[in-house]
Amino acid sequence: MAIHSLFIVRGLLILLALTAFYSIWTASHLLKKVMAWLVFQISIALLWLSSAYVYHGHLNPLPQVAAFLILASSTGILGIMLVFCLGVSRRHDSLDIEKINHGVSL
Amino acid sequence: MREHLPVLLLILPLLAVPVITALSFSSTLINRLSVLIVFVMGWIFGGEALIDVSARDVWSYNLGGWAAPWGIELVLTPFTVFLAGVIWLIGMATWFYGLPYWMLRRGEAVKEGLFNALLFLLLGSVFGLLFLRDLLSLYFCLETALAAAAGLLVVGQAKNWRDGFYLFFSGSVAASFLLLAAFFLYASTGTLNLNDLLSQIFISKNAGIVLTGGVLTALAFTVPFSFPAPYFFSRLVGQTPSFVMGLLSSVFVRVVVYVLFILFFFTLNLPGFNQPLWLVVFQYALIPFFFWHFVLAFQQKDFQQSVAFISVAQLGTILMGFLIGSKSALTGTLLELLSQILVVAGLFFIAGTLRTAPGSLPMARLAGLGRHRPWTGLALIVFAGSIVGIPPTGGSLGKWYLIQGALERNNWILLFFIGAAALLNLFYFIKLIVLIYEHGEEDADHPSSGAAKMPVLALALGILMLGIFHQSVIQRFIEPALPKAFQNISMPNVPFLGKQVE
Repeated sequence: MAIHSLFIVRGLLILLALTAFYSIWTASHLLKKVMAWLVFQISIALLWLSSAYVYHGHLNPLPQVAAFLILASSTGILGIMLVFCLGVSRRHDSLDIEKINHGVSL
Repeated sequence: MREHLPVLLLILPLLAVPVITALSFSSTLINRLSVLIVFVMGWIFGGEALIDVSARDVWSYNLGGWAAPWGIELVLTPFTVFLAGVIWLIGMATWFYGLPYWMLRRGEAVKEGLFNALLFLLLGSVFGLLFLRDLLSLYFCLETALAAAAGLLVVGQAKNWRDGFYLFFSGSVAASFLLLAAFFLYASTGTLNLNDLLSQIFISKNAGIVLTGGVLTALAFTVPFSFPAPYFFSRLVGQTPSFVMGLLSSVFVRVVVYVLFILFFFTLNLPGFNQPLWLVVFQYALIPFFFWHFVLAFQQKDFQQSVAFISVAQLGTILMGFLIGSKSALTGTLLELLSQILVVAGLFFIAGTLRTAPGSLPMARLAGLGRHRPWTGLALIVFAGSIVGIPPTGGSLGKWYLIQGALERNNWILLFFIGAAALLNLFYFIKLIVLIYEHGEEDADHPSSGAAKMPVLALALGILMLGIFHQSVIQRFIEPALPKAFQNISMPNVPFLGKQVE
């Protein structure tokens, strides 16, 4: 029964990851892309967390630490991405991909 | 102190990052002096580490005293230390080459300091990729390297925000697949240590783990492989200072290739594993895809665009070595990897000496180069000769071993590809020689400075030395870096780094 719940949880997480990955490709705004990436990372971190509960009936610390590290590093990466978005926005006056790719650089 | 050399090598450039950043707000001279001191310290640590690792073959170091597989393991081999030395040389050449660029921008001392700090961040990250034997740590190093690379693009040229974002963002999305690979491999084997993973995979004999882990891992590195293809980074090549492009295309891209080598041949290496047909077909299709970039390179009217395509095209040669997978082929691959690092950086550096301002660099600017600047012309011939495979350049020996590997395996398809690429390159090599020695007007606007010329000549000399002393390089550095099955030592016929499998 526990295994079945784990399958369902992981299935839902993979579905979330796939949806986020699809959004990364299709979003036409840089911030939306960044947010989709963040959801993708969160789903991966949760997948890691899901494997903490199958260690001889005890909580396994390593996946928890891995999930924490992934979330912490994702926060840092998100910050850098936002800095880049700010730079793009200043130079192109927009974060819309159509305008950035075809607009004249300042 | 001496027993901590592996970690010192790794943290020296990383420690330099905050120091150099802080010093960038003081005087430019102090900043430059501190950069030089860090480079000199790196050479001292690297030299000592090379002496020690040559005596041991493999130097395993547990971070914080936590033994692997629970702790994070650093593994130094003679090849990784030698490769780190080549990377350090490129880093130093980049810094030295960039000095005149920053001297022209007197009011941008902070920017120069930031550039130097990012340079060390990149070097520290790629050292992490070389030495660390833990999947999660590899992910963090890859992300840091991407951030440093994107930062260097922006600091080098403020117009690059868009391309910097795309490199960092797409690289991060791809790198997430390494997290997925790590999750999958951990869930299947219970370990993240690369050596322990090989043991677990060997014990489980589960081909599915190898296949899934391999595909996810390969996906994680797709973005560095496509750098700096002009169809993705169209404005980048012309806008970015050449020394930045040279550094990223040579160091960042080629270190990622080495990480793949480690993962494919030392971690996901299950004896008797047969790849499915679709994967074999896909891999073989990648060879002409990469080599097609040579054709694209020769069609370019702009020299920098041409170099960018050549940088991507050469990855086909390395992939070919991976596909053959024999001792000769892998020896050739590692030799080719070393020479490509020098060649790609050197070609971009030459482009920089010919360019007066950001923008295009017509091939016509090469006309008469060999007459007006004989040393630069000679260096260009050495780099081009290495790409074609003309002795005694390093690239020629790498390709020779690859051909030998293909012949040993009777792999006529790959022989055809390498032959066709060599013929095509030879044709354009002859055209290039004619171009640079034809009568052309000297470009008086842009006399190349000594600071720009010296790194180019040093890299050209490095290519020649690599070719002339290839036997020594192979015996001392490359052979110990090959899977144990290919080494002439009495060990079980199991490709494994450092330890025996029970």
